Amino acid sequence: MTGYVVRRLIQAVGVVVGVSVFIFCLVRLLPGDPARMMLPESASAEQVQAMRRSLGLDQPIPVQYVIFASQAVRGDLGRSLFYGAPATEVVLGHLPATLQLAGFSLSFALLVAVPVGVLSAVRRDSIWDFLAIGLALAGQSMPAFWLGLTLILVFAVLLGVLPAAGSGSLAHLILPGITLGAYLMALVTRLVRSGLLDVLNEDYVRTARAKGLGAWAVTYGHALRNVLIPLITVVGLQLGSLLGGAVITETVFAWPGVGTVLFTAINARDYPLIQASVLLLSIFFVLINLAVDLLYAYVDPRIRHA
Amino acid sequence: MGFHPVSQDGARRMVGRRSVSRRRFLYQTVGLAAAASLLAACNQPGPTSVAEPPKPTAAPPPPTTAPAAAAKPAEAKPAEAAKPAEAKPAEAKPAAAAPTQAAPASKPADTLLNFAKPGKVRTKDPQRFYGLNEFVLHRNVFEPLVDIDQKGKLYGVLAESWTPSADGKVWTIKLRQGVKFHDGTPFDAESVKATVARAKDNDKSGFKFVFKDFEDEPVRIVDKNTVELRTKIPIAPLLNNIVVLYMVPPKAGDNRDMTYEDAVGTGPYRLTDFNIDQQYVMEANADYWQRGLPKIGKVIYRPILEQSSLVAALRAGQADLIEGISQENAATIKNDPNFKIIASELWQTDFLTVNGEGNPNLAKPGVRRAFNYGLDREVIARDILSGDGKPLASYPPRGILGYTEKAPIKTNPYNVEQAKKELAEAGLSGGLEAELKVPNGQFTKGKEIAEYVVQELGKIGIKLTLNLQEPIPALESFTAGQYEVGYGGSIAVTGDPDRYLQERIVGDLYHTKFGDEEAKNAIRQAATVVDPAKRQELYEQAAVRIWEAPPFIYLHQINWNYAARSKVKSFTWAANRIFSFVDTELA
Repeated sequence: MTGYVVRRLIQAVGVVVGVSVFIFCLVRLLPGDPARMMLPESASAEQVQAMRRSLGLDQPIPVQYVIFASQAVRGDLGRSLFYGAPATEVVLGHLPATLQLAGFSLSFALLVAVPVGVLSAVRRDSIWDFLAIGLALAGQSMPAFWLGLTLILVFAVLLGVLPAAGSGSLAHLILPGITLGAYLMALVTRLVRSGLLDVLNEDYVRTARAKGLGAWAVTYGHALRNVLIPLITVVGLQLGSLLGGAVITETVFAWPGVGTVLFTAINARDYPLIQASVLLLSIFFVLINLAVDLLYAYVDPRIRHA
Repeated sequence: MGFHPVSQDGARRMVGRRSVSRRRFLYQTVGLAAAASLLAACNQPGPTSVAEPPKPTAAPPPPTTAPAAAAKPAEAKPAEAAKPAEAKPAEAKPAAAAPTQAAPASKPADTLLNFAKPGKVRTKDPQRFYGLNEFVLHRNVFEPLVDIDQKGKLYGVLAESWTPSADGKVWTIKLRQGVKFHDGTPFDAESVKATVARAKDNDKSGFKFVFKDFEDEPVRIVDKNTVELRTKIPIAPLLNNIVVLYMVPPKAGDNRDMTYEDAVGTGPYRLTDFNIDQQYVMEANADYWQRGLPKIGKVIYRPILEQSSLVAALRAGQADLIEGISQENAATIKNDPNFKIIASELWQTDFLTVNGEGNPNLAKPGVRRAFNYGLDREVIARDILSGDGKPLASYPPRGILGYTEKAPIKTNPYNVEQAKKELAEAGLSGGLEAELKVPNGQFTKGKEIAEYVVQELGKIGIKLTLNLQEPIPALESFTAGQYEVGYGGSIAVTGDPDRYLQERIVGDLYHTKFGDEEAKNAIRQAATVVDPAKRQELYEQAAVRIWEAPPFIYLHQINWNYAARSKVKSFTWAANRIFSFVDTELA
């Protein structure tokens, strides 16, 4: 087990270094000069050059990367040009809001998807099944911005029961949470349904029924437990996406998370902040995957011993 | 993909001596995650909901008979330019939104205005950036010496009067007395000196360019309440150039990193909360020098970047006033009695810029005139902009010094036959081809207007290929000269044409290769002559010459829509989009 963990940690470091190189080069390929963004349009070439010097952008890209990497290992990811504060501080400062949104979305997705998926599988080909499949299809098909705006229109504008944008209370969390969680909810519903359908035909389920266990005990006590392994894998991977993929949802709902920061940073060509956001999100993503793998090994002991 | 069951006994053996079973572990994990999520949601510090009730604030002093009286400006010299306006900012409320309700206004301390616009304010420091989003917040917390009203007329804010010297190089400014910064520091000549000192000769300042022709000692203190602004050459629009230079207290002068975060100004509101991504909370300054103002106890400015979300916030009651609403969205609410659209006429002109360096055909004056004659600006203003614009074919726009319709200049010179004739005389009766680059989403209806331009000019043989591009690289390509025809726009922040004309015509920022030296000289001269009548004459001369070989094809002057809930009784917009809530009133 220790060897497994060490191996995975080394892989994780490799991924993070790879991401840092990739994002470092990518932001520099973006058209638009951050030095110009910080100056009035009429700024002279000398002023732009002076600004580029002060930002270190006049150095060759490999040199810039070495400077960036040497500072990054010491925990310094540069200073955000837009926020005028250390980039790490800006990202970490917005992380709680993103975690909150991701946590809510995840809870929403699981609380809806698992019972719906089970119902759909147990009542196969019934009206409930069709409704569940319809819900799953809708959840996976609707773009986040469209769903978000539709929810705003219905619940904020027409019914006036929930706030349209902003943050600060549970009520503010509901619409962006549902928007962000809809895709995961659909995915998990389908996963639970198909997994359960497979398992319900297994011999041990028939045995359980034969020995007189009730439907509830058979479904939840025996069958569903075996759907948990793929579920954990998918949910783990999707949690990473919830953290990093909330840019659109956060922008539509003016939610002050890392997604909003990333959107702002890209628009402002704030190189240090784009790098810090992507790098820190990738670290979280890698860590979550690592945790999922370890959890996976814990839940299914066969993996540990493989 | 079935998963084989693991018997419970087997599982327990594998887990070994662990005291927690897998089932319990999973239950606990899921339970804890759900509980943590809900707890976190409920415990986020400091609600930022705009729907919260306003906290009671100290009420501004009761209204007195009139705003602080303005001193008469010093005697005008013969060459005086600016006709110093009587400084009565509180009275400068031209053409504000018409009140829709006669109900008496609430007491300031009880009132809350939720304002939202699609732009974030990057800093509390009023001199770090030269940007519109920053100016709107800072104008409410800080104040300039002078400002401009909707008619383009200067009025004193922290200056009571101003007088240029005979040679136009020294401007003596009498400062308003009895004004205090939010921390109690008196506003005086030292404040002006400190403000200018940190903005000038500082690479980190967004205002360095404003002071490029100032003396090494730009501010000389005459006495506690009088300063002299000293320049190397006469600068006619000097006061216009500093309408967004907001005064900071002397202690901020030491901060040369442009990270002055105290937000201590003299403005009608104190900045009590500043969260770049969420909200900027301003509470009425109880010691504001204009008695009876401001009329609102608290203003919460929230950046909402998405246009649809912005309108939804208004409709859902989360915002009382929003800025920058599109015509389509305006149409959805203008018939609703709960809302009103407040249209402002901006000093913003949209234009086509023609590069004179690459395609030789585009450098020909006849071709540019053909562009000018080939476009029906009435169609653009009336049909494409749905009335949210006015035809314009020369610079500057209506409302600021230099605007002219002197022959041969017309606001809509549309004449297809003339356009074809110009092309033929330029030896291009067979037409020409070029690319039209448009910064996508940057200008109101930019794409639609560009499509119309392509269609209309195609009729006279100018075949343009539309290239929609991200705004930042598109605009940068104009300044780099890497384009053929571009779609641009400009707003006269200072309310004076000098800056635009110096940059775009004389300085040839967009590489148009406009070479008429007489026109350029007239513009240069107009910048140094302080008599406005003389300046008008010079700008007209320049405009007529520019008309003959236009480097830019001006299209229209744009309107800018605000939308408000009917409780917003009055709101004074600004033609440069930098407004103050000082006299905004709620029903």
